[in-house]
Amino acid sequence: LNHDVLIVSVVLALAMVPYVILIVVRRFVLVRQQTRKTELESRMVPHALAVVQGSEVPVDLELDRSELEALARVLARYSRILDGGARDAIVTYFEDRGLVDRQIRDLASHRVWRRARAAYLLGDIGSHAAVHDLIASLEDPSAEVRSAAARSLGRLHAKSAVGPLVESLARDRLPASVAGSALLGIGTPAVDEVAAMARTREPMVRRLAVELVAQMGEPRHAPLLLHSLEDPVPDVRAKACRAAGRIGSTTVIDRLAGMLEDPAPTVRAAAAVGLGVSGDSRAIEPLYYLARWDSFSPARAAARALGQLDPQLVLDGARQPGTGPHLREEADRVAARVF
Amino acid sequence: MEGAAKEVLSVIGITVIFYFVVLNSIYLAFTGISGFSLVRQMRQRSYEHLEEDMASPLSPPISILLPAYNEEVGIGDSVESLLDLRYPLYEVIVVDDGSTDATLNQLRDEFDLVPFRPALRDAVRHGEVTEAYVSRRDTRLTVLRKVNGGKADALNCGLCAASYPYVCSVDADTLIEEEALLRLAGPILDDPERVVATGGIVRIANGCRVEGGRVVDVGLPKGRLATLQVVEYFRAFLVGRIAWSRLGALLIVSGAFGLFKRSVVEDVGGWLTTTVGEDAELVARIHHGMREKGRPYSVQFVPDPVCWTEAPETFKVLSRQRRRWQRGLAETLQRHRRMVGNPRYGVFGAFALPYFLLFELIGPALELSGFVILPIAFALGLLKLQMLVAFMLVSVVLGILLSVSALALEELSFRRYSRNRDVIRLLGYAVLDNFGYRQLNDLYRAMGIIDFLRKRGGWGEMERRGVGGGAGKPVVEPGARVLPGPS
Repeated sequence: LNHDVLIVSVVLALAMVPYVILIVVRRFVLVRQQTRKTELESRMVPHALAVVQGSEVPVDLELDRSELEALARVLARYSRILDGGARDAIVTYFEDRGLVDRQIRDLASHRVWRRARAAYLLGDIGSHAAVHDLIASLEDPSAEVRSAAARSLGRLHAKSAVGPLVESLARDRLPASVAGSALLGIGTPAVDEVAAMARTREPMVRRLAVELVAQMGEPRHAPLLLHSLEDPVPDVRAKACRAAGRIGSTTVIDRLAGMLEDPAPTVRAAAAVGLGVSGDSRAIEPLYYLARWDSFSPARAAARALGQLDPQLVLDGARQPGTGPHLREEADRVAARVF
Repeated sequence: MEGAAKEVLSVIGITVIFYFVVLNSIYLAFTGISGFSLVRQMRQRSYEHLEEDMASPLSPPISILLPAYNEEVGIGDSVESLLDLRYPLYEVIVVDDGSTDATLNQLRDEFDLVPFRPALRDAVRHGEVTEAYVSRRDTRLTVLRKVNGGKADALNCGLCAASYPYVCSVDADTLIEEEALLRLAGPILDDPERVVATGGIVRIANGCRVEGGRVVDVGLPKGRLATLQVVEYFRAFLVGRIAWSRLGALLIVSGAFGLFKRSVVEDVGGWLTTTVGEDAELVARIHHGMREKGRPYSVQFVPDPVCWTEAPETFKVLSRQRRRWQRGLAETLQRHRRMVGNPRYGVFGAFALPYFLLFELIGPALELSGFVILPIAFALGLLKLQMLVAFMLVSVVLGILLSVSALALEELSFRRYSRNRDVIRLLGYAVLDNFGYRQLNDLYRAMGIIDFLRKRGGWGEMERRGVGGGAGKPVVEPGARVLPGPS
C-alpha cells in the first residue's frame, strides 16, 4: 500500500483518539463530579437552612473547603428565590467569610470563565458591595462577562446601574434581552432613565424603552409615553399604544382613541389592544367602527378589545346584518368563553 | 478508442478525488466552526438563567401552526405538549388538512371544541376552510379544518388565521420540550429587527420514554436503522446547521420546528404548495426577498431547543423519506437557480447554494458512480489496487472521524443520552454508519433525483407508532429534513 496514504489514514485514525477520549473520559469524570456535587449539596442543606434561619451557630467551623463551596452553591440558589431577612442572612454569611471580596477579586481575573462566573455568582449572593465592580464589568471585553454582570445588577436592583445598562444597550454592548431583563429586575426606579432611552436615535432602543416602561411603569409615568406616541417609526408608536393601555392613565388613554386613526394599521391595531386592556368604555364606539370597517389587523384587534370591554355588545352586534367577519368571530369566541 | 476511454476514466477519477478532497475539507472546517460555536454557546448557557431571563414579558407573542393529516394516533399528545409550553404569550392553531381518519374527533373530544366563524387574513392563498373550532378547555387552541391541499397549504391557512407577529411551524408527529420555544425565540428577543427566522434541533424520539406528550427518558432506539439516523442527525444539526448559521447562510429551517416573522413570510408569499421541500424553499425565498430589498436580516439556528420526532424504522419508509427530501432540494435549487453562485446574494448565494448543488444534490450520484467507475478503472489497469484500497481506506477513516467528532460535539454540549451503554452504542454506530448506511442513503438520494427528473410527486406514507407510544396507523412521513452531510 502507498506509504503516504497509510500515514494519512493513521493520522486520521489518531485524530479520532482525542474525540474518543473526550467522550469516554469526560463522561466518566463529569458523572463522578456530578454525583459528588449532588451528595455534598444535599449534606449541606441543613447548614444552609441554619444560615437562612439566622442561626447563631458558626455552621462552617467543621466544614472543609469542598463542603464550604457546596454550601455556597446551595445558599446562592436559595438567594435567587428568597427575599427580605432570609436573603440578608445569606448576604451576611457571604460577606463575613470574605466570599464576596473573593468574587470581586475574580472579576479582575485574566481568565474569562472566572470573570463570568464571579459576575454571575455576585448576583446570586446578593451583596450590594459588588454593585460598583459589576458596573465596571459592563465594560469587560468579553460578552459573557458583560451579560453576567448585567443579570446580576438586575438581581441586585441596582438603581445606579440603570444609566450604564442603558448606555451598554445603546452601544450594542449588551443583547436587548439581557439588558431588558436587567432593567426589569431593577424595576420602577429605572423608569425615568429608561424613558429617556425613548429619545435616542436608534429605533430598536426606543422600542425597547417603551416596552420596558409598559412593564415597569405606573400611571404617573404615563406622560413619559406621550413623546413615543408621536414617534416617526410605526413600530415604536404601536408599542407606545400598548404601553399606554397597560399603564392605564387617563392622560394617555385619551390620546389612544385618536391613535385609532393613525395611518399605520399596526398602530391602529395596537391602539385597539391598548384600549381593550385599559378597560375605558369611552372607546367602545370608535372600536366598534374599526371592528366593522378597518383592514384585517386593526379590525380583529378592535373586535377582541370589544370582547373584553363589552361582550354583550359583541354578541348583539354579530346578529346584525353586515356586521363583518371580525365581530362574528369574536362573538363566537365570547360565547365559547361564557357559555 | 481505448485511449479515449482511458482519458475519460482518468478525468472522472480526478474529478471524484477532487470532489472527495473538497467535500471532506468542508466537513472538517464545519466541524471546527461548530465546535468553537458550541463551546461558546455552552459557556454562555451556564451564565444564563432561563427562569429569570427568558420568561420575560418582552418575549414576542407567537402563533404555533400545527398542520395535521391523519394524525389521530398522536395528535392529542402533540397538542397537549404544545399547550404546556413555558412561554409568556402564544396560541396554537391546528390545521386539519382534510384528514380521513379521526383526527378531528380526537381533538373535539379531548379539548372540548365548539364551532366558531373564523375571520381569515387574505395574505396568502390556501384551500377553503370548511369548519373551525375553538377550545373551551383552553381558549388558546383553535382548530381549522380545510379541504386537503398538503402541508404547505395547511401552513398557509394557519398563517392567515394567526393573531401574533411570529409563527412557529410544528409537525403534528413531533413533541416539543417545555422550554424549547423560549430558547427558539431567544435570538428574536435579542435582535427583533434583523432576525426573521430561527430553527431548532430535531432529535429522534424512537427509544425514548414519553409520558403526557413529554420525553421523560432519553434512550436509543432498539432498531439499527433508527440508531444510525441518530448519528446522522448529530452530523446534520450539530455540525451542518450550526456552521451554516454562523456563516449567515442557513438554508434549512426544519418544518418540524421553525419560527418565522409572520410579515416576512407573508411578504414572500407564504409556503410554496407545489414542492415537497417547502421548508427549505421558504428559507431560500426569504434570503432572496431580503437581499433583493437590501434589508439587513438573519436566519439563525439555535442548537438547544429540542423537538423530538419519529424516525423511519424500515428501509421502505426511509427510502421514501430520503427520496422526497432530495426531490425537495432539487425543486428548491431549480426554483432559485438565479441565486446559485451569485455573490449578490452574499454567502448564501455564493457559497451555500453551490455547496448544496454540488455536494448535496449531485454528490450522491457522483459518489455512487465512484463505486462503479473505480473498479472499472482498476479492471482496465488505470488504477492500481493499492490506490483503490488507499482511497477506500482514507474515505472510510475520514467518514468515521466526522461521525465520531459529531458525537463528541454532542457530548461536549448537551449530553442528552445519559446512559453509558447508549454512548458506547453510538460510538459503534458512528463507525458502522460508513459501511453501507451512507452508501444506501446515496442510493435513495440518487433515486430522488430521478424522481425529480421524471417529475414524480407525492409525500409517501409512514407506518407510525406514534411518538407518544400509540398504535400503528399509516400517516404522512415526518418532515425533519436531514441530509447526511452538514446540511
